[in-house]
Amino acid sequence: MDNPVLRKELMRYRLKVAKPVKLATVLVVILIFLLLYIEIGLSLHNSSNQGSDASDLCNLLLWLQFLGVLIFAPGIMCSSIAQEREQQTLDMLLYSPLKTEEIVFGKITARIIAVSFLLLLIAPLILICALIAMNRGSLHLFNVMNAYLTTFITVFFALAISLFYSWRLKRTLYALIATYSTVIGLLIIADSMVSVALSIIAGSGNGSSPLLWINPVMLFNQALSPDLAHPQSAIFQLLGLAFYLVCSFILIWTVIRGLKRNRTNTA
Amino acid sequence: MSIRQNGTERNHSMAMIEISNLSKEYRTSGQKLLAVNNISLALDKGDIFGFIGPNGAGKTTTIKMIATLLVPSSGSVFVDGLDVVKEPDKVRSILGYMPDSFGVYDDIKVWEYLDFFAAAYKISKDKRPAIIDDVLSLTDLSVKKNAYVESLSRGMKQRLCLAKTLVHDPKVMLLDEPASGLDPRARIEIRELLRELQRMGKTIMISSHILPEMEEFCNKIGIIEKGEMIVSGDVRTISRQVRGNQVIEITVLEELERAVSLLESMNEYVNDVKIMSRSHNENQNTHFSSSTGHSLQFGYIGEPNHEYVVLNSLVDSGLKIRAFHSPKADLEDVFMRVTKGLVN
Ligand SMILES: Nc1ncnc2c1ncn2[C@@H]1O[C@H](COP(=O)(O)OP(=O)(O)OP(=O)(O)O)[C@@H](O)[C@H]1O
Ligand SMILES: [Mg+2]
Repeated sequence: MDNPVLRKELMRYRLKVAKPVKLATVLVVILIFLLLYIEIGLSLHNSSNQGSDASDLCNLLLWLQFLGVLIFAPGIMCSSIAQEREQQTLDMLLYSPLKTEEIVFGKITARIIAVSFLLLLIAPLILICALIAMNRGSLHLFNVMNAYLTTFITVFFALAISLFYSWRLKRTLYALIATYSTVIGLLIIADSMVSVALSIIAGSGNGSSPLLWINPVMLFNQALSPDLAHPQSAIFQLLGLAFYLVCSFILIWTVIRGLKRNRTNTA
Repeated sequence: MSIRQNGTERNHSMAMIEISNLSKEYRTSGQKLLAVNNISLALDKGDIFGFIGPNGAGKTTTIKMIATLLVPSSGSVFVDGLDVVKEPDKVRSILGYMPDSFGVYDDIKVWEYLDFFAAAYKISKDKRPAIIDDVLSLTDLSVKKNAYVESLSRGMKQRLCLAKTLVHDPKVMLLDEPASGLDPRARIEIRELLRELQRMGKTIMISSHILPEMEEFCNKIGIIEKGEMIVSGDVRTISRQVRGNQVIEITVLEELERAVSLLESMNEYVNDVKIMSRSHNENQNTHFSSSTGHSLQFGYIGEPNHEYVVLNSLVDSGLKIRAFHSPKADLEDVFMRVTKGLVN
């Protein structure tokens, strides 16, 4: 919380409504979640096959959460630098003695906090299902943790991509389009199509070309329901995540360096 | 002023801003443009320097170089003895720079906005509230402390930006057209604020197109055109030069000749007396008509704002003055003449 940029970014999430309205909203949300939890708890309790129902539900929730934050994160990250430029505040930000690292990490951290907040909201629900499922042996703790890890790293990668575009493309809207094109268009759709095409050309039926392992959907699927027939998949998944991390840091580093240059040349 | 012990050059006299042979060349798509051409200038502590020039003259470019935002093509700039190229961070810590166009964070409150910049300048948490109150009262925004920035008027946002540049108590302020786009009232308020800053001993460089405004509170001015400093120096000296070209028109009811000879005798105030118009029957008549007015023009070369001395002596001598005014009698006129519209 020492970082002024982080504090400022968090401030901007604040809802500009009166206190009673805020309080009421929070109460309603809590109430809805409470009802949801009770409902799910009861139906699981009455279910004939508690174990697999719970693990199905847990998987579903983890998938939804994964895809949800993957869409959500770029949406809030794209404004990070482009908006400063649009509203002509970037120069003054760079002019201040704040370090560019401070600015960039402040902005990323604020978004990570926002994403974590979302994850925390659904966490109890997933926890209940996971506990029941694990109790019945239909779900492994390792897979749940791996799913969370994959979610975090993939979201971090998506944040880094949209930070990069936000810096590079100058407009929030362009950054948003470019980020979705990269994450969904390139990493998910194009990657799958190229992999399929390659495996057809190669004629080998057993799939998993290494290229497929930069596909976030593939990585998450492997994390949650490992392909036991191909043990090497686990390693590919790890490599995929490592690849994401390395790319993320390269992108962030590029932005920091670029902004450093902007600091003394805003012409 | 203290002599810096730890190293960097201090043989640069006592000047707060010292610019020597500064030039900046822009290169865009193969074309070269000399935006600033060999400018030299020295400002001392407490100087208020009015930097005047038409659009595209190179004011912003010069200010950006002083503000460490642009690297000069040649020449040097020292701020309080610090080289802007070698020690940009140190220079920034003593500079308050207000760009010509700027934005503000709309979705936070006025005090939060200032708190953010105070924190950015590493001012400790317990000192910030007092500083924020200070700069708010200085910029007359205290009542807006808890308002959202988006609810401020344009002039208030401009003042907020000024408040922001003051949070770290800079010794030197660079204000690039701080009054642009403001209504007359807001301009006057900005002027009051600048006077206050002057009293606080800050060195201020302020750019503008509007001359008469600058004349009032600047002690030095410089006129830049096409990247070159055409004149610079003490505002009185320049004003006097300029006033030599100030034209005053007088209309008398009668005795035009006497008015002319009276004026011609006041040679410390007046030069170049010209008769503009006489009555119609002037050619036949040795006496001037008593029904129409007669106009004459002269160049005023006395102290600025002391034209009344001339008027008083004319009145004292019994002349019947119908009008006494300067048709276009301000610095703007000179500015137009000096700069000749030679924009890049
Ligand atoms: N980034 C840039 N690249 C190329 N040329 C530039 C750049 N910035 C300014 N110029 C040119 O340099 C010259 C001086 O511009 P500058 O902005 O310094 O003028 P100015 O005196 O501040 O004018 P104004 O009163 O309009 O603000 C202009 O001819 C302008 O076109
Ligand atoms: Mg300008």
